[in-house]
Amino acid sequence: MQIISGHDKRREGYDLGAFDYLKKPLSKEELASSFARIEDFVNKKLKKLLVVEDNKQQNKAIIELIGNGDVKSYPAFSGQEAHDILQKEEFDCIIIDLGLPDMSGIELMERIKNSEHLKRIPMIVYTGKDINREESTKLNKLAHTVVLKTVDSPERLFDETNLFLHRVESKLPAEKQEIIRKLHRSDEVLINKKILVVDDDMRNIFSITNALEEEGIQCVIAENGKEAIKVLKDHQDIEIILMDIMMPEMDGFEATREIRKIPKFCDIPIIALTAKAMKGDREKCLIAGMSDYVSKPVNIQKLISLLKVWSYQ
Amino acid sequence: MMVETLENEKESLAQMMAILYRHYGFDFRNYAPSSAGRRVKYFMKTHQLEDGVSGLTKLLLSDEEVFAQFVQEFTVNVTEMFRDPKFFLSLRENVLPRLASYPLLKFWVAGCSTGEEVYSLAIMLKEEGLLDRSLIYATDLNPKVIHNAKKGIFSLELMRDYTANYMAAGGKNAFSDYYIAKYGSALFDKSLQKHMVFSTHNLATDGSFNEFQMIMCRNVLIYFNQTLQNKVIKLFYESLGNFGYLALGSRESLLFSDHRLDFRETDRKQKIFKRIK
Repeated sequence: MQIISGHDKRREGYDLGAFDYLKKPLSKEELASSFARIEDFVNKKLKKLLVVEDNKQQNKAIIELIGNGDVKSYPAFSGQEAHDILQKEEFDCIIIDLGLPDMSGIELMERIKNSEHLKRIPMIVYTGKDINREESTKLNKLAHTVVLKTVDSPERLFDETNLFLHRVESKLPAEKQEIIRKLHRSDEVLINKKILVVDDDMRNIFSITNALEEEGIQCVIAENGKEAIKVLKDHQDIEIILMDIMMPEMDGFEATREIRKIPKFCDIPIIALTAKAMKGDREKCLIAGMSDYVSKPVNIQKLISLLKVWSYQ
Repeated sequence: MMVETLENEKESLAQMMAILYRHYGFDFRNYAPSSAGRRVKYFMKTHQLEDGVSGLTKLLLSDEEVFAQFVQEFTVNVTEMFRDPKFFLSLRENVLPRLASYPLLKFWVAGCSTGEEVYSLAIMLKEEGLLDRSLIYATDLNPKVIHNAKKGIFSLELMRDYTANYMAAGGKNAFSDYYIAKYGSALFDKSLQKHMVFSTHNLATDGSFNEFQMIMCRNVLIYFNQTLQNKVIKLFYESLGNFGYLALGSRESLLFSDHRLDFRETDRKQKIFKRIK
């Protein structure tokens, strides 16, 4: 059922089982995009959601919040139970609580990420627990998004989950994508190289590390210049650095100058990730001691070519 | 003194902007002609330059220091703390409670000028218990204003007006808790600055550099023509996380943006929008 109404009673509409809600007055574009969504919906099978939360009442509450018509939700009350059910059913999205009785939510997510057929399922962390820095760095790599439990958080959980359940998937099936990726992987210079990615932009960290790991590159992460210098001391075998410019604590220019002072890294390739387009900004990168630059948003194919160039050195 | 008709003036202004872009890389080609013309005229008047736009063009090309001065004066926008208190009140009531579910909050104040709104936002985040996990990125095209904004020093005589704004914006403490008065200036609390990252960024030419839960860009788009407005809204769209918020100035809108259907109004009057897809 598609509701078109002059009153904004979106939630009531959804509760009654509506698929979508449009508010009048309605433009031609909105109506057209609404039909596209309906078509999309009709052509697709039921969406499946897995809710991993050990508290029975809360698990039920989440399923009641998200469940409408086209979504079939499955509860799991422990990490093992979630793991087992994932082997049997194909899911479109997983909501995970961090504190589970038999393993941590992070452990469960790492298992999912290590599984070839599960690793592409979007995962949403929903937790009332305080997240420390170490966990937060891990979650940035594992989860698509993190929702902390607050008074208003159900609304956001609802929005985020629906986004992943109804997202338009990329047109090629996974197998074909894999074949194309392998075709692009023309040579193996990059395999087992260790690269440090310094960026406070989580989208970048997520997309860059995922793409580079597909190429067989090992990625180490730092969220600002200060952290990068610390990480370098612990990982002396890092061979290339990707460095964002605008960061809290210590920016990319200062970090580069500091790194160049360390004898071991005085000529390691440092590639700037920059949102700036002007000549002067690029010159500043080189003056600070960077080796090259690539513009944001990062084009992965270009970045890989650039890394090949710099790893031949 | 060269006499230029209105039409000629418009044309020579456009020509000057094209030349400056080629020569220096600063792109003012898409500024709204009326306000650009006003600012250029004001620059010529205050510096007693009487050779019209073509004379100014020659001068700007030959003297980099004059050009630097020109960039500063041409781009400075007037701002104040808790400007439009009702806007900040709406932010406090309608947006911040919904952002509390993010483990880390990133804000971008684009075109922050001398930083008044950056400090206002930080104060509000502190009062709502969110500052400790927030980072505010404050950018402006103009390096001089960024340099000043970083210092966190504002004129003391303005504090009386700002205090009234702060209270009207739902302030929970005494405004004077946040600054120390010294030598006719108000020095703002360093603990606020810890959560700010200042940098130059050119909205006309530079790209997205992070993903934000909220972008504030108030009273900047009015100086741009439709083409540039559309481009900048696209940049904001790309820099917002899903369900992130965008706040514009009271006379600005998404009406001419290709992305207008990707946002929903959170507060129509205060021009707060939420990215919905």
